[in-house]
Amino acid sequence: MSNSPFSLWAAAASDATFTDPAACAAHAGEFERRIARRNRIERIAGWIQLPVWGGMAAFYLRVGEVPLALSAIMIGVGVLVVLRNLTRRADNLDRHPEEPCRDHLVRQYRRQYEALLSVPLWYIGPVMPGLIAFLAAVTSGIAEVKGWDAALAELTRRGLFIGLVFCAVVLLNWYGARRLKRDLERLERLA
Amino acid sequence: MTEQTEQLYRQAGEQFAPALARLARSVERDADKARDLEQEMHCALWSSLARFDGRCALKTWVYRVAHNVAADHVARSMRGPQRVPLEDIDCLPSPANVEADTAEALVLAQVAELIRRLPPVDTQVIVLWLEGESAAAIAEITGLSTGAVNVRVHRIKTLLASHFTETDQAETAV
Repeated sequence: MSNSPFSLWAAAASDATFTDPAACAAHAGEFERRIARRNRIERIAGWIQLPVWGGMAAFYLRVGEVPLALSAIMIGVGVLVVLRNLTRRADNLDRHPEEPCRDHLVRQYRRQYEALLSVPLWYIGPVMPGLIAFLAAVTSGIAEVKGWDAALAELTRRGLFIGLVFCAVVLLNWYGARRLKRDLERLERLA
Repeated sequence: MTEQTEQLYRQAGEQFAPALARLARSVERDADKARDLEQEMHCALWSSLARFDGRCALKTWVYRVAHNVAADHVARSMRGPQRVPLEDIDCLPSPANVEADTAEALVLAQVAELIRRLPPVDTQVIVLWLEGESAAAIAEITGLSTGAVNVRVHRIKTLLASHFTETDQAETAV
């Protein structure tokens, strides 16, 4: 350590000392608490949605709109699946900071890459059946009143809007994944 | 924490506390955040030492932990300027708000600025080289091949040499 090419570099912070072990123990506890707090907030945000979908289902059932009620239940179930996926994928990696730096980075990048690439599967996929059922129920309701031509036109309009939003989400994530893939390949070449 | 682990932590503190402080300050410009990062490194090291089995040197272990924690820190705050690999940089960047008394201090400030703009792997190599580590030691710590380390070290040496040459020429011309 004394062979530093710059004497000024090696001279800087020469009086630094390590943190007291007791403070480290407290810090580790704080870290655990922070993760627990974050997970609690995520769950609360998800659980707030569920009564909304449940309330909608109950309302539609009461007014005799069974298909709409079923679609609301399906969307609620989809939200539950997304919540479970979020918890599974948002968890921190097992912390092994002592592994070689390149392996550490490769593991991080790969996890993020896989999560971004599979967004259609774990983020959009679970709510799609409910959304399709909802659109089908609405379309059939419109058809009963205004006829199928008007219903299909409305379905096209709504379907296009939802499709565009989902496509944008998938494309943005796919673009991010592609950048990570390039970083991953660059790291692989350095081994 | 066992007595042996505590002993290792103390030993690591005596040998590497300044190097870890320098690493924290080189990747984080904000002094308070750098201090937090430094403490995060200590704590990650403190908990990891329970797994230390002596299969590598304590120095290698300490640097791996510290650099990985630093890389995680950089990844969490990626909203800064876009990172550019060392191979694509032609000259040292101008440091912001630095009052440099000597040419060496100015170069160091520029190197620190350069470090903050590099991707994690390049940062790790440069900081370890500045700490005086050999290419073989850097390769063991980072997991890069010795060739890849040498390329990066050569690049930074060339950058520094060209900078000093230009500075000397400018002074001679004056």
